Parts: sequence; structure tokens; C-alpha cells
Amino acid sequence: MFPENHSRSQIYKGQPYPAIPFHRADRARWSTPSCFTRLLLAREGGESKVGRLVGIVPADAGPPRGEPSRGAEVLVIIGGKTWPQDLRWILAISASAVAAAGCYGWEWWAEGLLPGGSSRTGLACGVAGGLIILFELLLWPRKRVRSWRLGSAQTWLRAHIWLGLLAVPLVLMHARLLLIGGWLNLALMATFLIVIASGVWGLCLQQFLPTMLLEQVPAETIYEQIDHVARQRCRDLEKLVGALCVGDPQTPHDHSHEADDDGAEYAVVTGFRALTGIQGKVLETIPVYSPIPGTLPIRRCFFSEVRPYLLDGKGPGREGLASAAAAAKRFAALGAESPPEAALLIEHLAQACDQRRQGDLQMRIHRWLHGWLLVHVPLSVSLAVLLAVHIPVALWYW
Amino acid sequence: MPPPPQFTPPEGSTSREQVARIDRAYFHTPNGFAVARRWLILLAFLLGVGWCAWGAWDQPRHHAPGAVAHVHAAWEHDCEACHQPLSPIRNNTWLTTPLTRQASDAACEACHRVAIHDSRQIAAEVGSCASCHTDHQGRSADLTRVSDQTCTACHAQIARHRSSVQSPADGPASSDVPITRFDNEHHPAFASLTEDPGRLKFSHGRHMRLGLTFGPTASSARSADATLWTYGQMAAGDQARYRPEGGSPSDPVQLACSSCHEFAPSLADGDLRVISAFVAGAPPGAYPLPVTFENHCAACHALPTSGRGPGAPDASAAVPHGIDPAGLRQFLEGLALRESLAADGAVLREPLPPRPLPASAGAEGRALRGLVEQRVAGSRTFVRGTCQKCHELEEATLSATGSLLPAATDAAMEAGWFRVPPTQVPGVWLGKARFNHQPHRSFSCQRCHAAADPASATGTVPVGLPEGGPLDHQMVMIAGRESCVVCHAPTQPAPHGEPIRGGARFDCVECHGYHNSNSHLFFGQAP
Repeated sequence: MFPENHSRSQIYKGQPYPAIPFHRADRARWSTPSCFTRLLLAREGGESKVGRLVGIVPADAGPPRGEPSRGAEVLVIIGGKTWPQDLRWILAISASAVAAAGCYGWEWWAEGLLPGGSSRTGLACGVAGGLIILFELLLWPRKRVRSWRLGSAQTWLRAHIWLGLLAVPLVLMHARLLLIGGWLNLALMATFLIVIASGVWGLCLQQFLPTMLLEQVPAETIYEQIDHVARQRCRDLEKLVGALCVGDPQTPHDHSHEADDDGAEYAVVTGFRALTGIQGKVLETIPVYSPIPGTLPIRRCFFSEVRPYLLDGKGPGREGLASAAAAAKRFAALGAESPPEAALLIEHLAQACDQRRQGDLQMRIHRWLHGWLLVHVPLSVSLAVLLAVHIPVALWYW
Repeated sequence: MPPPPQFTPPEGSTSREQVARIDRAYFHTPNGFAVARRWLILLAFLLGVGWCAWGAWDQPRHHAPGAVAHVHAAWEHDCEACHQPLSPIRNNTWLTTPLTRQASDAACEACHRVAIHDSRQIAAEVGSCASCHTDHQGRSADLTRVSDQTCTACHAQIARHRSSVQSPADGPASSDVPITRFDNEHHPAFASLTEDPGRLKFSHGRHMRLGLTFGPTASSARSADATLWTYGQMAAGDQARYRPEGGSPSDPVQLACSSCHEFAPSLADGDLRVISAFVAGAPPGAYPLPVTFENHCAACHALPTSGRGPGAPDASAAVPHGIDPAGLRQFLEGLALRESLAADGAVLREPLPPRPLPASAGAEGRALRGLVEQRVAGSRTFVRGTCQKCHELEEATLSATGSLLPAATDAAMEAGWFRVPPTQVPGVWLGKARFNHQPHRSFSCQRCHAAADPASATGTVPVGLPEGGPLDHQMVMIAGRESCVVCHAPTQPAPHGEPIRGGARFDCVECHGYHNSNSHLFFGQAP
């Protein structure tokens, strides 16, 4: 069967890739069949033979999506390998919150009145909460001046999270357990609570979405480049289809064969390589011969279904390839009505659609992963403004 | 099937060309998230600034925790009228100093002049005005409705929070009993109700019975018709006042509590006695108007000078109530002289001497003097007996000055007189608390004054008085703390069909005041 140290696109400049050490655990993990059928180039006697398309077989290599992959345990904000540090933070803020609550309760009992922001405990909590909010805001400029080496980003993020959570009880005690009045105070408290809630929401998302992204999107790329990569891949496939498929007589002036009019025997297209759960993009050289007879359905399928999907992703009228199962059926049917020599081309089409599908999923996850920042960061600015006014006003009319 | 689109020639075929197609400076071009975030940050900043600018224009609603009480509404937009800049107005802050407290209190005392709470209070422990009277609680907030904790902060351990010297102005001596709340366990018994300081001999039991008899029950009273007091024995004006509608003059008199204990709201328009309620500083109806002899006793007690029977007395012969001993002597002498002259006018026919001397009166004159003296002595004895029915008397010695008899040198005329000391019946019994009868008017009087009910007048009967007529000045007829906590307590679950106990307010300020704590007893009290 397929050598375990080779990927599906193992041809680079006509030579096999060198063997890469492979972990046994990964091999055992990857032995599970994938949820979708993959088109692979079968090989005869384990030897590489360029350009011989002999059929379509189910995939038995590559990381099955939806299962834990290596390194998933480190993709959480709280817990994982950093749990000892988190535990120290939890103990510290818990002790601080309990101490503050004890002082607040004692003053409440002694005075008989719910201590407000001007009371001893209330003011102390307010000052502490204000300093914490100021520190939380410093995370923003800290990202702007990474070169200053003001502590590691991980330390800053952990302090941002835990101190932010500690600010909640402090601010609540400063605000008389929400029994406050005045529109400025109400706006300040509402903004603070929304910022905290959005931060907690973002923290919860960060706990599992990166792992999901790693598992569900092995071909993850830069978010901003998803469409660009898809367009580039579409152009590669246009070149392949134009070179290997016969022209469509219904289409006037079909000069697709003229795409490779340079007379070269090989075409350089984008290939994919999967290793240890990560899919990478490589440049693959495909031998180009004359158009394969009987590939007109492939050509029509590409231009009517595959190309729009690659360029625009999932959308109205493009739901067929957006589903992995439906796409597998579609390409299986396409392979059945096409000559065996076109299996490589169909495999590239299927791979491209799979990549686009992952790109769409990555964009959705990315929006969830970063969408909360559209609330968290702007309202933090509002919080800073309101706090900057609240402090002098409160001290003036103490 | 629609025709496939036109084939697009690839842009490059070599790896260099393909690598060149990748935008390696993509991060310089912000994506949609970054652009949206920048705009939202700008919008949030502007919103924050705008909100604060709005607050600067409308300070009370933005910066004040709430509307001030209606009594301070005139200063709603003038924060500095009460708040000193950068000076805590309350007492429980880190930066409160005697100077800051003095500054904040000065603003309050510009309008409110209050007395100290207790002469033994420790000045350093007394908080600022705003520490107890928290404003900005809304227009209808009662600034005097402070929490119990402001009181129990000291009274829970009162011995630690006061000096040892007590002023008589502090009222009844308070104990060192810790007070933490109002109930039978955490609040001492009412100190004002421990004993009756009154010196008026009065029996509610007899006066509340039918016909004002000594009999213990109404039936026994009816059996002794001779002792019944009827409406017909009253003056015509009094009959109209006391006799119920449809009653007959021959019906025995039946008094009610309201016959003597009148409240201002129940008085007719134009009754000047209402003024006394306002002068006392209590709300109308809080306390009954004072019981006076002229208004409530004279209908039956005419104070005759001699025993003429129970018939309607001659008004001119009735002793004025409240007269002093000298006045009583002049009244009795004048009355006796008039009656003597009317009985025997011989002295009027005697010629006047050229220089009338006290000792040179004729035989007729001496006879008249003796007659007058005899009549005065008899009337005095009779009046003494009349006064003794209700009052404790003190002996008094009068000089001859002021006597109508110019030759009055008999020592017997100087002695034997008496005066009536003040009754000392408290106008307001609760000296350290307030009570308002008006909210309690739905209850029967017997609920709190059961001892005044003839059916329950079973107290110790003094020697010489018939059963059922205990003298009220020997007992307090006001229910104490145990009666109050029935209602003034937390709501307690009650079985179905039974009245719910508790539910009325029982906080300290419901009954007590802090400044001028005996507020209903003083004039010019602070609000």
C-alpha cells in the first residue's frame, strides 16, 4: 500500500520526498478511516509511477478530522500545561476576593448600612478595581510595544484574565452591590459588566475553538489569505482542466488547450501534503499530455460547480460542494462516468473543494474566535472614558 | 446545463511565478475585523465622551445617585450647597476628619438647629449629619427614617458609648441594658410606665359603669336605683352633650372613653382646644386633649359649698375649680356674708359709728361675724370633703390679709385651710418615645387600656372604697412593650383564620427620635 512516510502529493520535481520520521502513535491514530472518501493515486508495488492514474480508492492516510490531534492540550487558555500557574492565580484572586468580601461584610455589619463607594472598604475596593481596569487597558499598548520585553505575552494574558475576574467582586462592592444611582455610574457599571461578560465569553470560546480549528481545519491558513489562496487554487485547476479535458463544443472559442502552449511536459500546480495532522500546500509538478478523451463531464462540472464554489465559498446555489458527504458522492459519480486516466484530475478537484470547505469553516471559527473583541475592545475604551470622569466627580462630590 | 465560463489562462506556471502571486504584505492591509474594530473603538470613545458631556450639562441626574428629598428639592442643582469639594460628607470614609465633618455639618446646621442627643454622649463618636440622614434616596424619602444600626451601634453596648454623668434633662433614667431591636428580649420595658406619678384619685371603673355606680356590674347597678346618676340630673347643656340620641333624661348616665378623652380631629370646627395639640408639637390626634374639670367633670361635679342634696346646685354657690386657698376663703366669706345678711338684716339697720373700728362693732355686728364665721367653717369642711374625693390635700395657713372680715383676728380663721397640689397626671406618658393614637384608632381603647375597663377593674381595692373602684393613680393603665410587639414585629405566620401577628414597623425611629428625643414634649423641636 501507500508508504507511510509519503503523502498523497509526493512528487516534487519528479522525485519522491525523502522519508520523514513518523511517530507510531500518529500512525495508529491515523489508521481510522476518514469520514469522507478521499481520492488517492494507487501505486503499483509501492513504487512511484508518475502520471499513471489507475483508480479511486478510499483514503487511509491523513488525520481524520474531528478527533484530537497532537498538541491539542496546549491550545487552551486555562488549564492544560499551564494549569499550575492558573491554580496559583485562582488561589490568589480567591483569597483576595474573600478578604475583600470579609472586610465589606464586617463594615456592613458594623455600620448597619450597605457600604457605598465612599466607605472605607468601598473606596479600597474601588481603588483596587480602578487600578485593575487600568492594568487591563494596558494590554492594548503592550501589544503595540512587543519589543519592550515587558513580560511575556502569556503572563500578560493570564494576568489580564484573572485580575479582570477579580475586578468583578471589587467593583460590585465598590458599587454597593449594584444599588447605585446616577446615570454616569449606571453607564459605567453597565459598560464594565458588558466588558467583563464579553471577556468571559471570549475566554470560553478560546478554550475550545483553537482546538476545534486545529482538528477541523488541518489546512488552516492565514485568515486574510483564504480567498486569495482559493482563487490561486482555482487558477491552477483551470490550467489542469484546460490541459487535460477536451474542449466543450457548446462553448465557442474554447481555447483552453492553449493554456499550456509552451510545450512543456509538466505543469506546476498546487498540491497538498498532510503530516502529523497539519496539511500543507506544496508545488506539484503534473505531467501534461494531450487531453484525455471522455473528460467533458469533468470540464463542465468544474466550470459549473467547482469553480464558483472555489471562488465564492458556500452560498446560495453552491450548497452541493459545501457538504463533504455530498461532494464525495458528486466526485464519485464524476469518476464513474470519466475514464480512469482522469482520476488524478478528479482528485485535485476534490482536494480543492475540501480545502475551500476548510477555509469556510476557518472563517466561521475565526469570526467566533475574534467577534467578541468587537464588543470587548471598544467598550473598554468607553469604560476608560467613563472611569476617567467618574473618579474626579466622585472625589469632588464625596 | 449552462455553458461553462470562458477558460482563464493561468498567470504563471513556474514555482517562482506562483510564489510571486502570494501577497506577502497581506498584513499591511487590514481585514474586515480590524477595520470594524477601529471604527467601533472610535464610536465607543465618542459615545463615552458624549455621555460625559451630557452629564456635565445635566449633573443631578448623571452624578447624583438619586433625587434629593422633597425638602431639599430647591438645591437639586446646587451640589455645593451641601457637598464641600473634596470633603467627605459621610463619616465612614478614610479621609473623614473633624474638620471635614464640621464643614459638612455646617451646611446642614445653617437650616437645621438640633439639640444634642444625650448629655452623656461622646462627641467623637457622633457622626456627621449625612452619616445618618442619607439623602439622594428619592423625592419621597424620609430622611429621618434612619436604620436601626445607627442607633444600635451605640445602644447595643451603651455603657461603652457614654460618659457617667447624667443630666436631668435626659428624662427618665435609662438603663445600661443593651438594645439591639424592639421585642421583649432585646428592648427594656418602658421606663415611663413603671409607676403612676399622678395624685388624682379617680376611678375609671366607677365612671365607666352605667349610672356611675360603685356596683361591679351593670345589673347590680340597676338594682340600686337610688344610686343611679341620670342624665336628668345634669344641666340642660350637658344633657345634650352626654345623652345619646333617643335617650331619656331618666336613663342612667353611661360614659364612654371619648366622653372625657377627646382628640383634636373629632372636635367641632372653631374649638380652640385644637390649638393645644399644635402647640404640643404632636400631629393632630396623636394624643387626647387634656382632661379639664370644666369640660369633663363639672357636668356632674358642681362643687357645692354645702350639702344640699344631689339636686342641681346654684351656680353662684359652686366653688370655682382650681381656686387657691386665699381665694377660697374670700369666696366662702363672701358667700356666707351674703347668705347671713339675707337671712338676718338687723346689722344693716344699725347706725354707722363715726370711726368704725374692728373691735367696736355692735352686738348685731358681732352676731353677724359669728354667724359668718360659723358658715365659713362649715362650708370649708364641706368643701374639703368634696375636694378630698379627687385630690390629695395639703394644709395651708392663711394670714388675715385679704379676708372680708376686717376684725378677723381669730387664730382659728387662719388655720384649717388647705390647698390642692398639682395632680401630676402626665399629659404624655411615654417620655422617651412618640405615640400616635391616630393610626391606632381602629383598635378599641380597652386593647391597650384594659385596666380602665370596668369589666377588668380587678385591681387591689383600697380600704374604704367599694369593690370595683380602684384608684387609678395607684396603677398604670397603659399597656407596655408586650402589647406593642404584638403588631410591631416581623410578620409571623398564623394558622388559617387567625389574625396575623406582626407586620407593623418596629424600627427604632418608629417611636424614638434622636435630636430632642422626647420630641412631643418640647416646643420648637427640630424636624
